[in-house]
Amino acid sequence: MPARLRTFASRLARLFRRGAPDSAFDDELEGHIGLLTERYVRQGMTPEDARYAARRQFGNQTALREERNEMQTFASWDRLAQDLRYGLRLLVRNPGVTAAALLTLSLGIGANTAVFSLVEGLLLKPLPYQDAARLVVPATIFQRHKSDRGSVAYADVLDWRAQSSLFEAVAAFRPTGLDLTGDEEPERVQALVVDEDYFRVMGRPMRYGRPLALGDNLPGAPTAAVLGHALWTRRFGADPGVVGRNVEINGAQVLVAGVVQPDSTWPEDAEVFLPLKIAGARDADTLRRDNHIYQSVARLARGVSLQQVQSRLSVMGGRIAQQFTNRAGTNWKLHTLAGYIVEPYLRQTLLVLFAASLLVLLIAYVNLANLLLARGATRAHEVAIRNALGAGWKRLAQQFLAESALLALGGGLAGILAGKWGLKILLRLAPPDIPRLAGVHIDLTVLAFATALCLVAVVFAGLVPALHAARQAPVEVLRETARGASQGLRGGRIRRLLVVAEFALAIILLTGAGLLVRSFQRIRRIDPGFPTANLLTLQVALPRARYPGPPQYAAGFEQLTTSLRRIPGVVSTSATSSLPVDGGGFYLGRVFLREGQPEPPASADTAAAWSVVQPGYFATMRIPLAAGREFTDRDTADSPLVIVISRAMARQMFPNQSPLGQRIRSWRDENKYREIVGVAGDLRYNGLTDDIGNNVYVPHRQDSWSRLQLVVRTARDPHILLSSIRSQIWSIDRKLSISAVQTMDQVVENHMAQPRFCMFLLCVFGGAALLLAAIGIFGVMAYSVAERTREFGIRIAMGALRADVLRLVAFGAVRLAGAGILCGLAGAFALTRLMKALLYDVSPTDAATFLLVSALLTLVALAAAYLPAHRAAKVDPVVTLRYE
Amino acid sequence: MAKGKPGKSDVLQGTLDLMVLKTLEALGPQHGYGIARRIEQVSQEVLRLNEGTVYTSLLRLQQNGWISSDWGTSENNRQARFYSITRRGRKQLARETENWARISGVIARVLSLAGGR
Repeated sequence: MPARLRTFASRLARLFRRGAPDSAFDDELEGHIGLLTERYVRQGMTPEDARYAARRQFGNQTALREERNEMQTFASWDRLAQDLRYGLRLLVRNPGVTAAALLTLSLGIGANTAVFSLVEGLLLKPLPYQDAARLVVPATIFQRHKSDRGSVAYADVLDWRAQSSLFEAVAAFRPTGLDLTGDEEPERVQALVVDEDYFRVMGRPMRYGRPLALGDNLPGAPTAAVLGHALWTRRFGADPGVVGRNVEINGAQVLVAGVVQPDSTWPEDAEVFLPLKIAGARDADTLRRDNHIYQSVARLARGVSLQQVQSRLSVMGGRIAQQFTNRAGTNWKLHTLAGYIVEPYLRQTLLVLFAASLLVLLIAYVNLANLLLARGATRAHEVAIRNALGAGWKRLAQQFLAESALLALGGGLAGILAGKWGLKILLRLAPPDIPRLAGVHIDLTVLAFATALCLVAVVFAGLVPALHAARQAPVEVLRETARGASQGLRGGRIRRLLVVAEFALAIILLTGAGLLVRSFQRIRRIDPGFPTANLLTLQVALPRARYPGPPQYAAGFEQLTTSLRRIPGVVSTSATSSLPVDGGGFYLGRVFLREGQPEPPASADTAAAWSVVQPGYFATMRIPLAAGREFTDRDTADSPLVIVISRAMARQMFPNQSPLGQRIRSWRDENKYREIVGVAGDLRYNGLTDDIGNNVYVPHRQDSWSRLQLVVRTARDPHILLSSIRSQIWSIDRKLSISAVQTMDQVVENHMAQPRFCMFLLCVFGGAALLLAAIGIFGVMAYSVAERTREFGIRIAMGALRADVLRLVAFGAVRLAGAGILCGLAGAFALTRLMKALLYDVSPTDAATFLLVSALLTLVALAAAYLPAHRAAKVDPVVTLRYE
Repeated sequence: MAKGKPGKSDVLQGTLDLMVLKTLEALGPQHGYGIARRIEQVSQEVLRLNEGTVYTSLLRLQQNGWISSDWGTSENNRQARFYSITRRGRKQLARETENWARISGVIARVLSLAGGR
């Protein structure tokens, strides 16, 4: 080692004296030759002969000087520069191949840069919260709904809080919407109603003022609010003086206690925090075990693991499920906050996209290697000569690597630019409800990832041709090239293998895309149960300050819907507490018994979602009534209690009789008998792909809520009526806030946004894969036809028909594609089941999709082979054979 | 390779280094010409040598720090570079000599074994 170090040092020193002629060395050599000459003269030669003999005995001086130079400097650097220069010259000389290689590489790296930015920002990057690794979300497992993300009861939160060895703090909270009123235009904002532990769980100190604490949460305490950072800058001009002042929330004066720091609270969309005020509550309703109206977030105690806490909670939860009949079939699940935020469907989508982009990249690598190999083949002669002249395989590999490094550099830079652009498109296409999107951009991690991809490209694309060249005996290559037969068989075999690999990868990708397309078609075909066109929905909440109780709610909403009906272009209006297809509102689950049916566990009750609607709701939505009538103005608070149930529920509760006139009660909640007056068509409330559930509807006058979704059926595009609807509402009450304005078509579209997003991207990737595979097989076929020109000439001369030659080439292409397709189908069969969660009503091994994709790729292979095959068939035997 | 002239062999690179080192150890400071003459004399013209390669060898040895050089005056009153072995060079020479003896012994045994059949 020290010897090597010394060598390095002396070379380094020499580096600065380069180029200066080393006369001392030359003198030394001349001196030597002089002495030799004198010796020969002494032996009797003429001076001339002696000098000649001396030079001969000394050997090649120039070679000696060069050797010395090389020993004393970093010749490998010189060689590298030389290789790079040579590589650049080659790349410029073959602009077609170079452009194809650059395009291929930038496509692969661009797609991966963009998709990896998403994966990194959503899955890998740590959450911004204080010590976020210890933040967890305890949730309820409802076996009946196959859900492990259910909301929790306050009694559960109290149980957890008592386990101080497991949790440092446990908070209960409820998201809600609030109206910021006052002098400015009313604004609806997302708010959290939180208990006294919430800010302790989040853990970050306030920007200004104080957090909400126990004192704020005692029943009857004066209401204080904490403002979110974004709201504070937006509406209050980032004025610290707002702390200690009153603001108007829902028409009431509320003291501002503090302002949080940015990115310090979860859920991220909450802008105002108000106290729950149930600290120390003892009343039965708050503590009821089935009162699942809260969400929870907790901070684990230091030193305990998620698994430890989870196993403890499972035991506790199991005991509670046995102890309370209304908790049968439930338990507790502890999610990490990161795992809760990015729900499994989104996570799966991201992973499938990432896998797809990696497949595209693999194909790009294969294509690159193929292109360089093809060029290597045309350079086989040159490489063989250099090999014969003594260039070792290391030297040749260095040359190939230098070339692929140049390509990777260019392709990588172009790829990162393409990725930046692609990410912009991705973010624009992304469904609106994806969390953490704001933190997605191309950062250092992404750049490091892209660089790693480039390095892999250098090695892969450089080494394949280099190894190939090294394995060829120069003698044979020279003999073959001399004979005009060009490249040997082995190169062709590697290239064919690469094409097979390309087809296999492409078919995996296309099968995935095909399955998503079919799944999306199925989703598209789902009938929401009512016509969604020309239907506008908006949410209005009546503030308690001016609408103190249920009678005022009923009257207030009736005044609103009646006045909207007067706008020209409005066909009809109504209101509901919850909209189908996840359109908004509050979804209230209740359980029902027929008249005379014993209470559980003696019999099974029937679960259904409870909606409160105004008269005319079914007519406005155009939900068909299977039997009976809908609500009218005669269904009032004083008239007999009535209810409309859905067909599915009617079938379940009254299998063999008409439900009309029967009476049912929601026994755990309202517990009053209501007469069934109508049966409505089935709807899907949790989204298009949700199963059809049971629904009940009651008139708003008999169960008056302060927040409803207004529905407006219009004659034409509802957007043009938006401003007149707004001003009509504000002409009745200037301080009402209007939110969640959307057409029903938008609701349906939004619901399809995520499957569409995934399908679209996979189709783009699949298209790219198809294109690359087509280019690959075209290249190989064109090459092999050129190679076999003489053979075709002989065949035709011997009487083969042109159709035979055509068939021969086409068959070759199909054989290659077929091998790839078979491998790919096996791969797809193994891999597509990983995307099962993304498929609706389509099996991951859907035979039709597999067949269709195989047929498509076979066609592509044939199309790509068309030109080369024609060239082969047009071979003129006379010309080719004479050329020989 | 050297079939045309039986009895003469090309000099292996590593061997030349060893011979140069040994010459310097035996004779003390020498210039390149002197080294070449000594090798010629000792090998009794069995080894065919391009004398230029001696200088490659000298460069290599110098880079490794096994020899050092100084300008001096040669027999015919010319300026010449004189090479001398260093302490590290002596150690290296001892190591290499031992190596050489071992390897040539092994090779000799192998060859005589093959010849006996």
